[in-house]
Amino acid sequence: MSSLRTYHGCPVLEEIVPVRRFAHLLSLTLLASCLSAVAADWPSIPSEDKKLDSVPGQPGAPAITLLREEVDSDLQHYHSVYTRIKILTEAGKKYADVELPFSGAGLTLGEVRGRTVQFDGSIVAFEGKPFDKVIVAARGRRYHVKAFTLPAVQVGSILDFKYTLRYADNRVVAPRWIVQSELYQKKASFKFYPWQFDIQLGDGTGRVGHGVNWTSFVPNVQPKEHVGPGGYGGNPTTRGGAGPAADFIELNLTQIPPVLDEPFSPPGDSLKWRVYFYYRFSRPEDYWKDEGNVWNKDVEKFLGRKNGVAEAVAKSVRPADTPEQKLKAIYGFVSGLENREYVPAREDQEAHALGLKPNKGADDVLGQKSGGHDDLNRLLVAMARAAGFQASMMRLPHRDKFVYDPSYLSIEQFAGEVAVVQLSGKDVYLDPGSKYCPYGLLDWRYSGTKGLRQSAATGTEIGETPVSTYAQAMVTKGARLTLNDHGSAEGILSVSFLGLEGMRIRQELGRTDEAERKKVLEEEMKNWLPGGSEVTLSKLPPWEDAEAPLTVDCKVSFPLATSAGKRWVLPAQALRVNEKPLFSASGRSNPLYFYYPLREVDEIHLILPPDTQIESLPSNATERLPYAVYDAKFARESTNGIFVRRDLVMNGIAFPATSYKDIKGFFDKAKTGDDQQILLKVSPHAEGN
Amino acid sequence: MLKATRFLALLVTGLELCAFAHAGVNVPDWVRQAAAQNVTVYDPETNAVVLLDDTAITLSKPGEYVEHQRRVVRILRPEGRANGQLLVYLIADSHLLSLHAWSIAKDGHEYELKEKDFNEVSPYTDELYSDLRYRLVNAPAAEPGAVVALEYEVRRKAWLNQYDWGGQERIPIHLTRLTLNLPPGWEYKTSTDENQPLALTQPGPNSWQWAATDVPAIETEPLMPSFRALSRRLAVTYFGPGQNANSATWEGLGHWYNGLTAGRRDSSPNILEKVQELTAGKTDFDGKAQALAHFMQSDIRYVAIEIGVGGFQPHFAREVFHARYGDCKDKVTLLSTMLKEVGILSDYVLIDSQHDVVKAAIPSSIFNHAILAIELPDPQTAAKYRSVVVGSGGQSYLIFDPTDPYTPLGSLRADLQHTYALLVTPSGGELIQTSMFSPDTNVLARNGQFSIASDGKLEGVVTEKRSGDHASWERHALMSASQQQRSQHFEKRLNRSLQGFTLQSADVQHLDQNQQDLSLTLRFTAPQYGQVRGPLMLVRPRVLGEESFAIDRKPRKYAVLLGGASRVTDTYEMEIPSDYAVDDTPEPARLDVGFASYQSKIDVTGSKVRYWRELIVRDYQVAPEHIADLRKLEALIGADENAAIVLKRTH
Repeated sequence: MSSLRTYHGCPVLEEIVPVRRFAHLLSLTLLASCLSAVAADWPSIPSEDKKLDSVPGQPGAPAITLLREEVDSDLQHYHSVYTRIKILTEAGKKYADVELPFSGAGLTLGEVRGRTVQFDGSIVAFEGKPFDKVIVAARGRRYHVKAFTLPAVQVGSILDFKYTLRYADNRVVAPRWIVQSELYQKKASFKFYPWQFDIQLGDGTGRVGHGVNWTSFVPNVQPKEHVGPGGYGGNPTTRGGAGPAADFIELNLTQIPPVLDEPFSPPGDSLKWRVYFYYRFSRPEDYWKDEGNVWNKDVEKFLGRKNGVAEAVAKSVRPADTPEQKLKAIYGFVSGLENREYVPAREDQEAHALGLKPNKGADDVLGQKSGGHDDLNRLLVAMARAAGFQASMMRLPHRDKFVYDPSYLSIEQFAGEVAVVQLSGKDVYLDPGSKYCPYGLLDWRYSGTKGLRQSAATGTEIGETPVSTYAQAMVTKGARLTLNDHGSAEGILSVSFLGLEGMRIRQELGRTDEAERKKVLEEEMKNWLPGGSEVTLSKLPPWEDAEAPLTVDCKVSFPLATSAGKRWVLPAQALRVNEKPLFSASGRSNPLYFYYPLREVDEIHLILPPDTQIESLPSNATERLPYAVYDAKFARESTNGIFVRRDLVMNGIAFPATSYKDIKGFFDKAKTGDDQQILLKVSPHAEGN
Repeated sequence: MLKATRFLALLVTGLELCAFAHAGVNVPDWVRQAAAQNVTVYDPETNAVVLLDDTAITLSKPGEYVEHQRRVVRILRPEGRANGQLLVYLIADSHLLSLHAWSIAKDGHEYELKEKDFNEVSPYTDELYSDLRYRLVNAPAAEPGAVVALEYEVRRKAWLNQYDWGGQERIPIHLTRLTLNLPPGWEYKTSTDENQPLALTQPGPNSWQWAATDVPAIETEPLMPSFRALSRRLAVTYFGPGQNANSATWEGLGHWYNGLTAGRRDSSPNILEKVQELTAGKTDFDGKAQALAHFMQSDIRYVAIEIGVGGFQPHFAREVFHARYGDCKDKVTLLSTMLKEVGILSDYVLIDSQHDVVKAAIPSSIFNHAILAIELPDPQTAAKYRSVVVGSGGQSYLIFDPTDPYTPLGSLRADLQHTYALLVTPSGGELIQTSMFSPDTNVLARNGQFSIASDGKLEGVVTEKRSGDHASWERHALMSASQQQRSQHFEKRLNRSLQGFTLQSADVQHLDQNQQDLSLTLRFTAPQYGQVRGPLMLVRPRVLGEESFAIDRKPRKYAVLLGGASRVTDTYEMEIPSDYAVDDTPEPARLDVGFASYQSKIDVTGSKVRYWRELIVRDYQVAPEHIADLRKLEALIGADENAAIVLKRTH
């Protein structure tokens, strides 16, 4: 029996080392004011909250957050949280179980206090200590979960709990306020006391910064900055008078709607109201230029180590090759090197024994014939330049986790790099660092997104990668079947996975052996077919040739026709019988988000038994949206055969919630089309299933 | 939940579970010898083979033993790489004495890992907190052809003078051994599966060794029984001079558990006050028991905190009452205490929630759940309930699970039916077996009335009546959902059978009344439900409900789990368009294969078509020799569910 626990986000610890100035002037008053939120008695419970038994506009909501207060202080190096939740239904009792995951490095949990206030006003205090669960302890780093549960929880109970996380004096934490949660929040307040003196970035660049910026993704309400009498970030000794000189930023909100979990939603926290803070090491308008310069230098340093690069190019290309042929040859060479992020991870001992080290330049990658994703892509750029191409690197987020936003001034949005090569005046985006990625395509997570790109003119600039087309991610299924007297179909099924689909299958099964690939592919195909099917793969395709479609041929047999008196009924789209409709909910709140455009083509040639006649075929059907097409055709073929073709294209990846009705309607109609049946007249002796 | 050793697959990403380089690798001889053995040629799909699994248990003092393990595995296929993860489990009272690992790569490179190279990991469990942790390392170069080895010594606390030895895994074992070393004068007894004999030798005085070679793997098959139910087991109970082989019998285990729970069911004034409040006005057994059972199911949350012996020993009843939460044994303890306040006696029942794990021939403490046996006052009262067991002394007990919030008093969910359990009475323990209920206690009955328009649009209403587990599962889904989530839940269900539908209303009755059947009424429309083809219209009479399931065609070694006895019926009445008549109907379906049966028929009366079908499942599993019958049944159900009637336009 599971007990579900509420997750409370923890601060992300930045590796920043503050340069202390005048730290000793911090007054006790200041200290007291910063800690006021931590040490306070429980706030009184208004009578309206005591009477509350449902959430307006959300019938059946399991619980409601009545009050939430977060205080982050880089002056006193703590993060405190206070939450008040009212349990409205049985399902809401799970919010009494609280789990606080955090990395142990530099963080300690202070006192945890909690209580349960019953409907009749009686109070049961939380009297224990949180359990300390070490999730992982490895190489001096410990990842803990602190877990506790509040006592005597019932429907109608109000739960109060508060805790404080403290961190080392030489650290600062620019908080991320994730405002929305899965519960409706009546009132929430956030306060951040930033470090007011100079800060030295601990990334080895020696940069010194001062003050904070933030990016707010909260509609209609902005964080408010409160500046002390001495001016923001000023010298406290010049501030006049006694009293706190604290500068802080706060955000106060009421009636915060919950975030809904819906399928095909945009990634990560991108839908949630949130505020991200960061310490300022450059002017906002210069941020991307400054960070771009740092990154650009790092890339050029790597590329500058080009011992052996020219020779590798010379061995890979032929003098008579066209530019594209050369580029493809270089691409093939780099793709063929060991991809350290794809092969099973090596332990340090093994890497040491094999003499493998981190790559510091293109020469290392060549020498070790091995590299991570970015290493390989950088080598491609080095070789392309050596071959005379204009080539550059681009730094991008992973679109399944982050939607890049240039207003959020943080390079942590980025996850990896791809190569951009100029060919015949056009940019060609290349990603040999993603295993099995065909030439001219990117791992879909790097497509259709913005990022930093090297620029000859400006050092770096913001660029955008293209989204793949539906022709670059296709699955085609072709079946040649014969229907026997018992209503079962037998024959050959040939399936091709092209482009990104081929890459997906190759990546999923590339680390295993032929026996496992065969087993998994056979199971996959059985899932497409009616129950009781048999699928035997005749031969596996070559796995390593990422440029070729991945084509699989199988012998299949499965029950197809069911008897309806003197007729047989068979599904027209025999390869789609087990597919479930994509969307079931009648309404939608979140935008829709698909990975990449896709095309599916099915063709079935079915030969009927001699004593059957086609009584009725489904009508051809077409459904269209500006970005999607469904097309189904049915025709008689030869003397006693049927030809079926199905073509579905989805040519978009991101749609607003207002498009849901159209998109759901499209897929519903496609499913209705897929569920059409063929009617055959049969002779009395034919059995059917 | 009672403490159980769980070897869950761990997902640890983005972390450096690494080992440092060492000079002068020393691979011990026993590893090399094991690696050099000629072993059986295995099936090409075998992922890895255990070359040696050698466990020695040495009793260091009463209640404590040292476990010494040596293990060598050869990885045969890429899918076997997971066997390169080497670990030892520890709980709070365990003390790790030594830990070492080695690997020999396919290319001959040798690696050694010492204790400091191992990481500490807590597995994900359902408990709020458990002291179970692993010391774990990924052996270097764990690729096909490599050999990995582990050796450790752990001093463990023995809550019971018994060691339960597995001896079988998901990969084949070339040689497995268990050695028991006891102080002089100590003896032992064993219990095991009779059809899996183990060779026994005595390597020294007070030392005994059991061994087996070429032990087959328990391979994974869909819907198979649990690993613990299939695996060979040897339970070794040891006892000193003057001691009974107490734990070697069910009675002895009962005594042991009585000792652990002594005093835990002492009441308190607060408990008494609550009992009086809940049972005020209730005069008979059923009234009192229902009131207290309902309180336990609704007001005491399930939260498991297991530390050391806390995996077996419940908290005090007064603590559970004050906190209003506890795990299964805590809830049983409190309920038993509360029942006693109204003169109803009850006993612990230790059970496993997976069938066939508790074996009559092997008295041991392998349980993962605790429920309650409530003494029934007379046969007339007993006749009112289904979950009744009669003890060896003739006492009838009502078996009840207070941890299950949705199964009412008098019933028992399917995975606790037809299974052995330990009844812990004041005089010790006895093995009981819960009964398998009739399919009529677990019913899902759908009734629908519809009309079909000339354009194929379907309109109508379906009412579902659920009892037994059918009701429990649905209650669980709905009680934990908001109104919006409930709507989505119904839409998802309709979506399996209909496209483009509009759910007009959904009404649920008796949701929080476990003693009543759950009733659900859905009103909806579905355009193009009937497929119009010129003068014809194809209509699938089975509007909702997919009972067919996929069953592989490969030969099977193990039974298929069916989920328990059940009866599902669908009755759909359709008014067809006035300008159509029924031209063709599918043949009725009928098949009875003993463990299950299926039948369907279609009746046409004027413009009304009535479809009816019934699926009865009578057992919780199908033996491998009857799999062909199961496939036949599945094929029949699938065909019937997809069948269509053909309407023809009359004018």
